[in-house]
Amino acid sequence: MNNHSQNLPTRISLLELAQSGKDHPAWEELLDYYRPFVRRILTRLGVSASDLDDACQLALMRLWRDLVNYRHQPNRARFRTWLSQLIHNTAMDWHRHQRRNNQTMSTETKELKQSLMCESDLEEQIEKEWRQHIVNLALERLKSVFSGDALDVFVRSVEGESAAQISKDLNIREESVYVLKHRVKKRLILEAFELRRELEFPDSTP
Amino acid sequence: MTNRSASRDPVERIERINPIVDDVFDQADPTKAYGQALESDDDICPLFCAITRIKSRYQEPELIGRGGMKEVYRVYDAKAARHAALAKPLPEFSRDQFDAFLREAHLTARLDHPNIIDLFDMGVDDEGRPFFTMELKQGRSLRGVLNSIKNGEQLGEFPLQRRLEIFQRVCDAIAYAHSRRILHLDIKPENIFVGDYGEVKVCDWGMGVVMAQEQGEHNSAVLLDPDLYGSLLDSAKGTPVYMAPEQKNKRQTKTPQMDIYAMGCLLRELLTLELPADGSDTDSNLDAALAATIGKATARIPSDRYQNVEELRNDVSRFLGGYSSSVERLSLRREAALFYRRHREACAIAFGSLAIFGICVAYFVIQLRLSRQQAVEALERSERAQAVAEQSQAEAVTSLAQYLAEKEESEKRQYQQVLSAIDLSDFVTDSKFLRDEALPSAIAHSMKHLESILIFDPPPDSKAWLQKYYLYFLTQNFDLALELVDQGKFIEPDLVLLADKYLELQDAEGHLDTDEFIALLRELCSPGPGLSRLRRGQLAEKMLIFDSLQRNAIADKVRVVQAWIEINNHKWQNPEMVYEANTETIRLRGKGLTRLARIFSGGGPANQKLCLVYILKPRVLDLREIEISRLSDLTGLELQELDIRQTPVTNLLPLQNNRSLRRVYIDPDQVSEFQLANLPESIEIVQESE
Repeated sequence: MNNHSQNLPTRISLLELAQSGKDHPAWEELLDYYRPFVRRILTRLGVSASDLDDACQLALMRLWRDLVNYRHQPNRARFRTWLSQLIHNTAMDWHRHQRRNNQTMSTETKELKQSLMCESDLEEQIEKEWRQHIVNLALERLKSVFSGDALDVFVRSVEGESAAQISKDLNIREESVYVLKHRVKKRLILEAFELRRELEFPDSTP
Repeated sequence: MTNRSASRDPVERIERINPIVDDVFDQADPTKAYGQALESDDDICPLFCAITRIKSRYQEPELIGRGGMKEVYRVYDAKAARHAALAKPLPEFSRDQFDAFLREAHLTARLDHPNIIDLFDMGVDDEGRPFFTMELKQGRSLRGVLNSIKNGEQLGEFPLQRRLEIFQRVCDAIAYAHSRRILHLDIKPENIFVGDYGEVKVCDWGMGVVMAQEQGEHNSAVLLDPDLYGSLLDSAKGTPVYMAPEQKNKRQTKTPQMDIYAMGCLLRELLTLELPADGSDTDSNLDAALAATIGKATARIPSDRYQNVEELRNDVSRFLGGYSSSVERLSLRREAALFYRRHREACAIAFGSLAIFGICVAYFVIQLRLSRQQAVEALERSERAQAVAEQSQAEAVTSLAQYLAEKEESEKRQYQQVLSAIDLSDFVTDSKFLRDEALPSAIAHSMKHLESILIFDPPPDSKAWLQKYYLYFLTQNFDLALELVDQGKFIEPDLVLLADKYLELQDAEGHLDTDEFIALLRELCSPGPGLSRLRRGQLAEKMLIFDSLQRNAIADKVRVVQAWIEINNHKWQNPEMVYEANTETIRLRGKGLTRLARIFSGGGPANQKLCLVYILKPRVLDLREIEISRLSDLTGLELQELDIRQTPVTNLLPLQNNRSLRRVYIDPDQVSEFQLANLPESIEIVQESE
């Protein structure tokens, strides 16, 4: 994953690879990246923990099915809007399916309706979740690049701790604290950039 | 990522860095092409970035050498960040000669040995000309080393031992190359690099060839096919002096013996420091083993040379290790020399110990002889000394004897002088021969004589001092007498006590009164507490006489005489003594009066005793009825009449020579007729009974 920087401009993203065919091995990796995100959104949309695995599977199936079509209409909407609609629809369908199976759950339906009512709010929340998801993934990748101390330096400095304090606590020279902080942040942005490039279709609108 | 616990930490972290999530996410927007800037950021991987940016790898070329076919530059390898040697074909070379150049690089690359120069890189430069790079070390060629040794600059740094070690390194390299079927064919000091830290590297394999494949072996390196890599460059020549004779024939198949010949030449130059003169063997100065080794390596006929480099190397090793080489004719002396070389320390220690031992033995022997000689001399000396000593002892004894004899003589003389003085003193003061009046002058004379002796200061125990004391005592000069005592002379203690006692009792004129004088007489004659105490009768007698000259009162004299008689007759009862001054008659009565001479000895013989009544000088002595028996007691008296009736006297012989006696009264039949007949006619015998 880390050795692709040299031919970055011409490289095909993971998403694009997955689009090229439904049997492409890139799918597995792509879905691994999406699964935690989808699960979290579904939870927000009221899917119960017991149903989460199934609902997630359903959403990813749809993603797998619809992604090819998405390509044909590239500039229609932002990828995340498309994705959120997909997840939303999946959740809706899931709830409908649930209702059919269990007529008595009226209160639940009410809640569900409430939550589904504000779709614009949902998109905003999904955007927020996605941002966190990407940065989190990037942070996760940093674990294999930097030592725990380096990450701690970065996190502590983000929290506003002084370089002197960090230097003292972690037994690192103060100059090193500055360098590490800077490097980790640079690398974090780079990793986030990589992930976004792999997992997002570039939005047409700037 | 499905594992929640594994991502727990980052989840926490993501919450902690929440404030910058949007910022990070926005900066990572792929559409903004921000990634490009990120990739080129030197902060993350500055070295990598620097290397990717390098366009020209070899920089700052500096020509350091030029050979028959290539130029060598010192360059900076910007990618490896070090200096290296970069070889290029000579500028005049064209494409058809490039292969020969590259062949050297391939040969060198094939040889991986610490004593062979390492190839780093090879390629084609921007101008389309081949190049290769090799390691570059601080140091210089062996030629340079030999030249400076010849100039006498670094002989200390490169002794024979060190040069032979260099040769061994070269042997190692060539042996290795031969094992890889590669011949150098241009071995010479110019092509051997000697580093500042002992490295030895064989360089310049440009003349090298790959030996033809032998059957049964296969060579994986097709690139080194001898057909391809035969000496393509005929124009390049080996150094003539190092070149084997057969090598001059270009068509001759190349063999390891050519390298061995060159090695032999190299060994010779390392030893003699001179370029090998063609054909002439100038090995006379060399060690026999090494000369033989060189001779074998540089034999004219290849088959006479060493079969391989290892053999040559072994012989040199044996020389260094101190063994005879395989080509050497051996002698015992040679073996011994080699043995010494091999076991230099042990031999040195052994010989050193032996030498020290020998020196010690010699030293001790010499010392022994010296000390023996010294002992003999000392013995002689001591004998002589003893003889001298005996002689001088004898002399000393003789002289001592002489001295003693003289001393004895002188002492004897002195003693005799003393004795004679004492005798004289005694003699002159002897009362019997003196008239009363003469006594003081006799004493004075005696004193004078004594003084003349005492001038010589005889020892304090000398009798002379005692004699002087007697004289002082005699004359009652107690104070003068006691002065002698104070001077430490040996004086009889009883006399000292008496002198001390009666000095107190003397009156102002130095006289004792009658009673005191009598007391003194008594004390002189009384037996003292000690047995040794003398009854000093003679002294008392002399004092009595001397005193009588001083004492004028007749009554006192009578008392003194009576006391004196009593002293000598302690059994005298009812003593009665009458002195009639007008008739000068003494009448004695009473029992127990037996003697009229003093009974106490002292000084001279008994017959020198004076009669007790002497000082009264009686003319008539009436001894009737007293128990006196001997008339000899009357010595010193000048009697005219003597009455001895009723006395035990029977012997009248003592009166025989009496001149003064006129009349003797005796009882009838008191004396024999015979005696009466012998009496002088001047004496009238009156025999009448009362």
